Amino acid sequence: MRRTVALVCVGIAAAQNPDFRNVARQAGLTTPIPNGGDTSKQFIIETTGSGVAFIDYDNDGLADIFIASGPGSPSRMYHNEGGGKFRDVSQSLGFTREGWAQGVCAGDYDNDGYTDLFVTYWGQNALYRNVGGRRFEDVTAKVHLTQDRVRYNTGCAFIDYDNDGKLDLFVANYLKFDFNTAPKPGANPYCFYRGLAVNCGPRGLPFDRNILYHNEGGVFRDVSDESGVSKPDGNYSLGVLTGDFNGDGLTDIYVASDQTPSILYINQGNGRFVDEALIRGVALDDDGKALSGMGVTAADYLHEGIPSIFRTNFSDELETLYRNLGKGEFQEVTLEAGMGRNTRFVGWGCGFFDFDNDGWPDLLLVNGHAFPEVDGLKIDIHYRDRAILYRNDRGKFVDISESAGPGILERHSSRGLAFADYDNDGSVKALVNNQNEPPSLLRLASKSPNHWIELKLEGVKSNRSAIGARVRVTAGGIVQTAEVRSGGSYLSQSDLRLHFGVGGAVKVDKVEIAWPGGGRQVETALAADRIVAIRER
Amino acid sequence: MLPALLLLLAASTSFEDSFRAGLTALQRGDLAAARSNLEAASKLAPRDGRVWVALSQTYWRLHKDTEAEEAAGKAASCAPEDPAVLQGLTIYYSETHQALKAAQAAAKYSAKVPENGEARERATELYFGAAKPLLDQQKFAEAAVILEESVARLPKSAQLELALGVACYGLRRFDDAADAFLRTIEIAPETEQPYTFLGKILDQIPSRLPQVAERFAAYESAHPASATAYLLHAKALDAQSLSPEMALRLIEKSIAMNGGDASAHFEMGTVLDRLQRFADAAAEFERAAALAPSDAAAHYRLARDYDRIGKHEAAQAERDKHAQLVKAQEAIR
Repeated sequence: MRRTVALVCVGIAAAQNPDFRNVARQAGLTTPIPNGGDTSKQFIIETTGSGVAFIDYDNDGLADIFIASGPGSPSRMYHNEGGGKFRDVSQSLGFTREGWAQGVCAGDYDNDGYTDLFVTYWGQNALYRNVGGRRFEDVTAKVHLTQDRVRYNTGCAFIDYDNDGKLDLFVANYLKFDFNTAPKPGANPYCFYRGLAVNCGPRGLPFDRNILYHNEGGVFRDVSDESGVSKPDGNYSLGVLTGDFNGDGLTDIYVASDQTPSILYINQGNGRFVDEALIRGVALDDDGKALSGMGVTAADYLHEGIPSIFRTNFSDELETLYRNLGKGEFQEVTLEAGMGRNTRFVGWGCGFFDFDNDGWPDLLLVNGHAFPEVDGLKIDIHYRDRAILYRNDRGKFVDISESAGPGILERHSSRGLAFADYDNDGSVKALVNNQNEPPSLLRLASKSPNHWIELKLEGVKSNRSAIGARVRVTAGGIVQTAEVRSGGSYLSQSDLRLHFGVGGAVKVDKVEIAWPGGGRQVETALAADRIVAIRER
Repeated sequence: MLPALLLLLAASTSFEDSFRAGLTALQRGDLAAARSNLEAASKLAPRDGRVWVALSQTYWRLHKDTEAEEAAGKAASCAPEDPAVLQGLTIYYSETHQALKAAQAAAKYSAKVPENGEARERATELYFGAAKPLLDQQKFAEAAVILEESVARLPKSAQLELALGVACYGLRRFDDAADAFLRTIEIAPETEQPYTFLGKILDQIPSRLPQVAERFAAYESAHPASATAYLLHAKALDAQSLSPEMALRLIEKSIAMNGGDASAHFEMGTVLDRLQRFADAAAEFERAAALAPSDAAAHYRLARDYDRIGKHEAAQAERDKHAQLVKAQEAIR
């Protein structure tokens, strides 16, 4: 049954077109992030990197920036200096490794109060333990996360799937790739795009399996087989999204898969997962076709109390919005929701964020084709392309990209996308990883007069990052829900704090928290326009 | 070509003997004499386009392609507005298989003689002939350039507008494609193809949907015996999420006229799904799947609806069929 909450909102500032600007240069984010060829790409590995993250690694209340990089530069950490400025602290914090970094996800795996960072690679992954906010230590081998072979690891997420208070780790794997054996452009029918010889794959390249590591308290153990996570064996996995999609209090895992059915691992509660994407309607599009899933995000975009799923796909495919009808049964509603026209883009990073704080989560997608060679076709599909911004108009999405400011219209070959209110002014900003260019940092030229609240949760019995906590906020006659998530978008990590726009409301009537450990907590009458820290009781 | 060239003999005095002798020789196939006389005439009147166009023909027959091209170029530059020269160039470029140049010359000629319907028809055919091989080879960008030029020079041609729509469709310029198809309908409302093409891109042209729905409704009214017309009108309504009940009625009419059209049953199932009439939708997808058993989408949608009405075993069977079909299609690819 569909649950529609019909409520009246008062005092919400009228919708105006936003004016997003790219302030990366002013913020100090000027270094290009290398990622394979710029005019031609010989191998698929050059097409998929990389993610970005907002994490407050030193607990100073200001979200810092991490940017994963391809070879030619180490991945970079930028400290938030305040005043909208960032400083490159990669070397001093211990980020010196170069390689094909792909995804990034954050969580306090050792519950020491400092957020740790996991970076996926083609090659060995890296778990960076945050040592008191002063440096990061690569503890991959020490915690038993070294892999026995080269793998093409992509999306990742910390997840407490057994609710024992210790964060486990899910890692998606794209395919099996080896520079020495991978076919060259034009070598077989999977190495062409619209008649152009391009890098091969994913079709034609061997599948690999996803991995789940259980946190055993200090070390991790690969439980992929016993949990059932390794069972799906015909998927090219990229973006990872966690959430309680069927409302049973257990965190499930959705994996956007390229050219193959996407996966929805439903947590059975006994340490096992079963892929139920097909029967729940989130594996394929409405016509039963597997699309090229890249990035994925979720939101309660209709105020129904349950998360729906949005996925970015390849050009000539619709982006996909799966509405959660309740209990984890989904219906594709892309066209009905007002989307579906933007089929020229290859979409990657995506995320719901309430840019105007009206209480309705809007949606940003960043784009860029996989093949630089496509520009030679002189059609409307481009290697570098603009972003797409949808305003959520009470459950219908309106494409306002063309009038949303120069930051949205800039053309890049973008991949990762993450969100944070990095200067704590109540307006959420977006960080974008652009292939072979400096990142973009998108912020509004002037923020909405609407009100907001931001929640920083801290687990006690639950994992300290509160990952998996589900929050229900009642303000201004609207009830919104959200969940603290690790990973998401395209191989990226947004700020772990939850942001809610509350329209004209100057106070939040009620905040209800369902902690992953099972506890329930209610806070009432909180003033709006502030960041509120809530510790698990 | 020669009768046309003989008409060129109208007014020249200083070089008329040479020109006439050259044309006569060309007509009787004495190419050496034609060449010498026409070259002599060209020296006497080097800016006379008529001589150059005759020379182009002569050189071409002598297999002197470079000289022929040069002569044709001079004819075009010396007498760009001369109807007779344009007519001669049309023939020269047609015979030398230079379709686009022939079309351009023919269109210019047609513009000089607007009362001449045959000239316009010829120009239209030549433009279409220049673009069609490119469309067949899916060189849509090149085809679109030619066709955009063609509709500017020869407005109100349904054939060219339709072809332009196809080129734009191939280029994913969906709004431009829709506009071209709508213009085609305006010119030739009885032609079914533009309606069919528009029916395929409804999801991509939200800003054109009201206009398209209007056209589809008119087509349906004008063709009360056409199953396709009812179905298209229903699709246009459905694409706008408008009047699902009316869409159902239209599809019912379409099915009543042609119950063997799987796509009509599929569309009916889609509308019924939107209305959350899942059992009825399943019945329609059953029919669609029976009529087109290799259509993977019908089996997938059927599985979804079976699940919704609690027929889980039947749903699994349909999922299995869907998976088999997808696998078979991938093998073919």
